[in-house]
Amino acid sequence: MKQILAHIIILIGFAYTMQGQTPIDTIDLPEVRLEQSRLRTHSIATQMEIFTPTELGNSPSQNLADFLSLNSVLYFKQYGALATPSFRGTSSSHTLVLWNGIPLNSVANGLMDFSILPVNTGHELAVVHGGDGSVFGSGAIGGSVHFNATSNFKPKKQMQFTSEIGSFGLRGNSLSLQHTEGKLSIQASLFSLKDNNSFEFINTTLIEHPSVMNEYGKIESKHQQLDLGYRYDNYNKFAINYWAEDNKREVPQNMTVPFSDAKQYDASKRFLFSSKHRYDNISLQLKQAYLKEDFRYTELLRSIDSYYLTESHITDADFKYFTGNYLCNLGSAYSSKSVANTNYFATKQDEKQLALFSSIQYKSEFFAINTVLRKEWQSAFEVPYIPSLGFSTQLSKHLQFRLKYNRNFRSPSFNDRFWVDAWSNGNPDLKTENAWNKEFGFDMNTPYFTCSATAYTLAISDMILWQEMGNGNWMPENIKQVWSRGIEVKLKLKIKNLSVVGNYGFTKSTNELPTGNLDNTVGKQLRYVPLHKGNFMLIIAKNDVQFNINQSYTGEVITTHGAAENKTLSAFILTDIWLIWKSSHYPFSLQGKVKNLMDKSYQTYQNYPNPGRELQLTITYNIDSKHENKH
Amino acid sequence: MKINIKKLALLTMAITVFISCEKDDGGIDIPENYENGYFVTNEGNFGTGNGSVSFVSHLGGVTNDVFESVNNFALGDVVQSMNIINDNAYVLVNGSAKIEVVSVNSMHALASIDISSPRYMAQVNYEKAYVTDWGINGVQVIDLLTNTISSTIACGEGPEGITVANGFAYVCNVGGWGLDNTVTVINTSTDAVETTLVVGDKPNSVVVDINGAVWVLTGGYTEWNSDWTEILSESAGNLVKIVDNTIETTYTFAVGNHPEDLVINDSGTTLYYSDGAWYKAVYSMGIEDSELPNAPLINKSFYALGCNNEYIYGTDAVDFSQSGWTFRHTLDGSVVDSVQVGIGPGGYCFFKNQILI
Repeated sequence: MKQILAHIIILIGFAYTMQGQTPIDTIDLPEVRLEQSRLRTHSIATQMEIFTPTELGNSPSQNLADFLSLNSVLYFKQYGALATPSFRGTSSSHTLVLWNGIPLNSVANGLMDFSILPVNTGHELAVVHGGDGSVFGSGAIGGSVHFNATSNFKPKKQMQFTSEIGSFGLRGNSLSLQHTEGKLSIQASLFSLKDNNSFEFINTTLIEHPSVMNEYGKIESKHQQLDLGYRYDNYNKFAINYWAEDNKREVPQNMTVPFSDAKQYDASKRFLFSSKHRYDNISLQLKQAYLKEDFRYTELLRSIDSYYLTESHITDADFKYFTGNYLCNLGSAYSSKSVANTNYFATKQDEKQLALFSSIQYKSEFFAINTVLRKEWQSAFEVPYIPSLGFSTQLSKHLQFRLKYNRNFRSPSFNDRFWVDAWSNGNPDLKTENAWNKEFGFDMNTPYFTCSATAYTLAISDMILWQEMGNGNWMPENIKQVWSRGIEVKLKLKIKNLSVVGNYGFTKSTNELPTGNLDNTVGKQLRYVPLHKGNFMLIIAKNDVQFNINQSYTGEVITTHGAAENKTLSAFILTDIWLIWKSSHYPFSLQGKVKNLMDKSYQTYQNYPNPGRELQLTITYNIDSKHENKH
Repeated sequence: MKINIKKLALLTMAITVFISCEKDDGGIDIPENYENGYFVTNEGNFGTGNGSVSFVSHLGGVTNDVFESVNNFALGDVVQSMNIINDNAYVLVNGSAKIEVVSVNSMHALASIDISSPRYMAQVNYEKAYVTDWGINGVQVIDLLTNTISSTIACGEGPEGITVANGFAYVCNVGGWGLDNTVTVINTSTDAVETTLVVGDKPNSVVVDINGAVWVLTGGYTEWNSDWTEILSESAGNLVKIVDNTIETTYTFAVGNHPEDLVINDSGTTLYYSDGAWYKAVYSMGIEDSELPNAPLINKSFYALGCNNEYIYGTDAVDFSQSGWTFRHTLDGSVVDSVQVGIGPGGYCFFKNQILI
């Protein structure tokens, strides 16, 4: 019984703790520093939020787009089957998603669809603001999002089954097993989700604004994950990670279109083998990954059947040497990628690239410095040197100051370079997109209150834009220039049973270069980037019950720039409430959730409706070996 | 205190209700006069449903979103073209699979006709019009008195530009999502296909001159091998003159040029079109000229082209995401003025060619 109570207390206590910046006066042990992931090693002076599996919850239907749009300053455009982010005012291919350090964004188009990534998979989620391209490579311009396996070797035997039902035909199930004993750690999970998305909405684009059903929005999603860890001894550890997913979706059109026969199929497979070796004050981490993306989009009435298959092999090595206050880190990644696409020049394209980075860190109880320099070699285009400099210092016991100046980049995607059809063609001469990020911030940490504030300025040049050439053909060119700047604030307060979490982002992101004589968007806020976005969450926990309320505000966004006036989507406030009851007598917990409590009708992309009030009931059945022993 | 809050809430509610009522009832609706000017159809951002119609007065003023502002609902996705027929305007909305019928005086919506992929429309007589439809690879016959579809006529692949003359309708089969090279000639009194003429790959637009000769512009076609590494064949665009339903003359463009947007002046004597391999420009050709012109009239690539009232009009869609522009040029090619219209301005609609039988 005590065990369970302790568990609940830990659960609630850890719920929504902000783990952005570890105060640097807590110097980690050498072995911790040596075995840290690349993400954590390079988190000095970085604004980073970490969400633990407990915070991410058990709900199978909660995807990454939903979660981050309600719990961070990222803005998501949700349209058709897709949800793509704008992080610090950047474009959808400027947020890199990684899984145990391996980039997942599509090799074909550089994008990641955040709506197909569930968050309840037992992974830890880290959101890095401002990009970390010097260690993770292309695409992390606005920031990056990391899914990392959490397996450690603490003995544990657990089986968890979660079932969820919800409005509009939602059914979700997940099963996870965890078995850690001695040298072996096994974590496996199965996940399935079906959602008809058959919500009703007021169609303001039709005559007399009728209430209509969202048809053609069905989703079927399956995920399988396996994380195996083997600890040979304290110095040598091995892991195998596997993640397969299969998504079949209908793609609804905008609400002026009465019908859709569009369907999308995404299937991915990801394998990762990694090993960690430590000897004295040096460590070596090796990774070998294989990723496959299988994508198909059909609209048979319009004779559209688009298909691609990508394969990537990534070999990654990471060497660390630790002495006194210094840490030296050398990393290399060799990758070989291929994309087969019936609309590519020569149908199939492949290429190889090699990246090296070196980093020196100094960390004392007063301040920390991280310097990184990366170089990437690639046959098709030049990648510049990518430096990063981070500095943080402890101003007082509770106050930290940090400063970061780094460069990020995005390589042109395969589509950007090799696409060809009757109306458009890729451009093999594209350069990389180039971004310089400068930021500083303060972090306040007290036992009851944490607050983090960051101001940044991000300049992106040579941005790739597909545009119509004078002959009617479409082609991408490095012609866009964007300046994004803003302020991000996160705070957390905890008094007894009450926790409060707040996020706020001010984002001014403007076009800096006209793409033609008539371009009148220069100096104006980019489309689909809200100036203001934030959320406020209150958690009250007492005994077995936890009550949550989250209110999020998304400011107005511009959809079309006009000379006289812009067209916009209105600002909106969404309220979600949920109650978690974790039985202290029985091995299950229940969650009841009302999403969009006020039944607000809103859009994040013009003419694509979102569900109104939505109810979800989630039951989790938990068999814990310790629990069983206790009774 | 509690009561005060309640009172305040009630008061606020009452004010809100009052204000919203006033807003609905108090607006004075002055009917617009859409006569002394022309319309531009704006496709909108593809897949976003924000297509629109702009009205540009001959004095140079512009009113955007004339449909939505009057009717309080969206026109839809990919507004393709618009025709004024009798007292109504027919707006063909390709993506939203419909034709919106509006009163041309007030822009008030009168009817909506469901058509899967409408492209262009031509009036046959007071009671009948034809609409080309990629969805059925044919022509939908519209009963103008009831604004319903009365029958369909099968054509080639992807029927595009259409014109009516001499008791026939001429339909350009542009190929739709594939390839075609024909013009379907329809007898407008029987709605039967009279003949099919092979004019060249991808016929896109058609006009009739003062003498009743029909001029068809074809874009030409480039055929690639299956992995897009080699051009297997490349056909040139043609300007084809049809007299008495037979091809009289074919003028051939350079291979690799893809001419489009054939229009004709009010008197039916001069043709205008866009052409160019790397950068399109506007060319003019008299109907009596014996060869294609060498020098362009307006050295600008327009997204849509129009000719009316002794002016040549062209649109610039800028980047297809912000609002585009329409330019007015004199017949000798010099710019008169320009105004900002909607997103992706892709077509013009003028008050002309009305058949009042």
